[in-house]
Amino acid sequence: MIFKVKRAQRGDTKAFVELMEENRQAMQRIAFGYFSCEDDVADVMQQTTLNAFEKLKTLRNPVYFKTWLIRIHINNCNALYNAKKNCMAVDEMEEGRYLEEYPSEDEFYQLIADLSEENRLIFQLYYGEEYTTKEIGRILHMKESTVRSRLYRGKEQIKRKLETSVR
Amino acid sequence: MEERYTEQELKRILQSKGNEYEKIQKKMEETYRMIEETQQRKRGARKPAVWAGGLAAAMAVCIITLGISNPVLAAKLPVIGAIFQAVQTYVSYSGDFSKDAIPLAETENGEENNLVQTDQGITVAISEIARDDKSFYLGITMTSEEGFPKDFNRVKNDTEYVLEYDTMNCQTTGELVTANGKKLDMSGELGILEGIFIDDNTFQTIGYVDLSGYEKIADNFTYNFEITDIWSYLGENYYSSETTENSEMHYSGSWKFSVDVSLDKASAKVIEVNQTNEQGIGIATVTKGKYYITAEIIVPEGEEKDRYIVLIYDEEGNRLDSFGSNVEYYSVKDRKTDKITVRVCSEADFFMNKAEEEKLKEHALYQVEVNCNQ
Repeated sequence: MIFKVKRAQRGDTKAFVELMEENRQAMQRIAFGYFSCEDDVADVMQQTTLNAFEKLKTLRNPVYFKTWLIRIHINNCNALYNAKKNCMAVDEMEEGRYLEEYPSEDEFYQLIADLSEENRLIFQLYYGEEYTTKEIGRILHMKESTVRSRLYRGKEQIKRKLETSVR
Repeated sequence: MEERYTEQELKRILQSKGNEYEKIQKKMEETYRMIEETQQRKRGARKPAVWAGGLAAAMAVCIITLGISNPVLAAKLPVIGAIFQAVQTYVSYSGDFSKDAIPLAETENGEENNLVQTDQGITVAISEIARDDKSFYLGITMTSEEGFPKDFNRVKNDTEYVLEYDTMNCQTTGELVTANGKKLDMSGELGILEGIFIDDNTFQTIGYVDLSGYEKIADNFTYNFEITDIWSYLGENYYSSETTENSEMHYSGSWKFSVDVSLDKASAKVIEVNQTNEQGIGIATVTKGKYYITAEIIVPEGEEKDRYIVLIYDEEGNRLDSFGSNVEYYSVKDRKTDKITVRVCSEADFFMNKAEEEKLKEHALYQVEVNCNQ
């Protein structure tokens, strides 16, 4: 991967496209954690791809390409999410939920809905992308201990939701 | 209560959504076409090289001399151990580093090292080092000519801030080089620096590089690193997980250093315990280093160690404070730890009861006393 990144940094678009395709599923999964609408996911992935192409030369160490890319992607997801939130009427917003109604039969969204916003991304990075807690701390500029306690709290949230629904 | 989601289930569910989606596929293809067209336009617009006398394009070769760029500041390098003394009590990786501080101002031959770098109005100076068996600690001063934003100094200016230290974030690249030329990439280390503002212009910090996550570290090596960005949060953005354009203040530049390190591997002692209870939960070893102590857990086969927390108590029965962000390393600073008690709790019991020692003791799955002077 390192050589591919270096080639892409020197303007090799084929190498850049290969890199993006290798990471496409990860970007897609993370974006689906923010948006249930495929159009929104497509838009934010396009934005991330263009940003990555534009800024690739600023990446000093090719080894960190994936974490660098994911960091850009998370920032773009947050930006689009906030932009959409600001356009909604206050009474349409509900604490802890995404903007759109997500398919209730979809287990991915059932799980996401059970988690608070601050824990969703950590869950996706840990279980979905299998980053270590140390790597997640680096991506999100958090202490590893904070990542671990959020993972724990997320699991507790899921349990409590299940208890509530069973009653 | 039975868990709805096992670890495997969580992975399976959160690794779905990786299928092909037509709209996403088309959008990505469109994006790649845009990028290719942009590149082709750039290539087409390039002027052909003009060759004259065998060499055409001007090629500037910059020899960057890394020297002490500010001799006046260099003369003001802090007294050795002073940064450790000032900062070590406040940071989350608290240790008595000042006792073992080694000056970095001079090599054995009396030549000065390049330890003071100034760029973008920020001077970064490294004046001392302490080390144990798996880490090294650098005493660092960051000075801003025009002063850092008041928002950076949360200890002083933010009434909601509860920590005793401030943090400065850095973007770094680096490598560890051994005498035989072997290199190990260490980019990202020193990413979060804990320290204190001694005034509006000066931040003192102990840069902590933990090598325990790397394999086969040599005893002696050179740590070459470059800081390319120094930054922190503005206003209330510190508390937000979202970043906006004006939420951070960055100082982008280049601060390059080279530090020789000799780890003190003899300073750590490993005590074999190798005991478990009937459920198969127990402790394999206790490792006591110069500044920390930790215990290696044994769990039943097939179970994950992450589901358990190891707690360590001093001779007086008081729980040791965490050492850094690594959850199961504990600080030995100012504590009697010749004899310790090690307890194992479930993750759930720990987070539920962590403020109540009696409940932790009651719910402990396993406990053992260990003599660290064996």
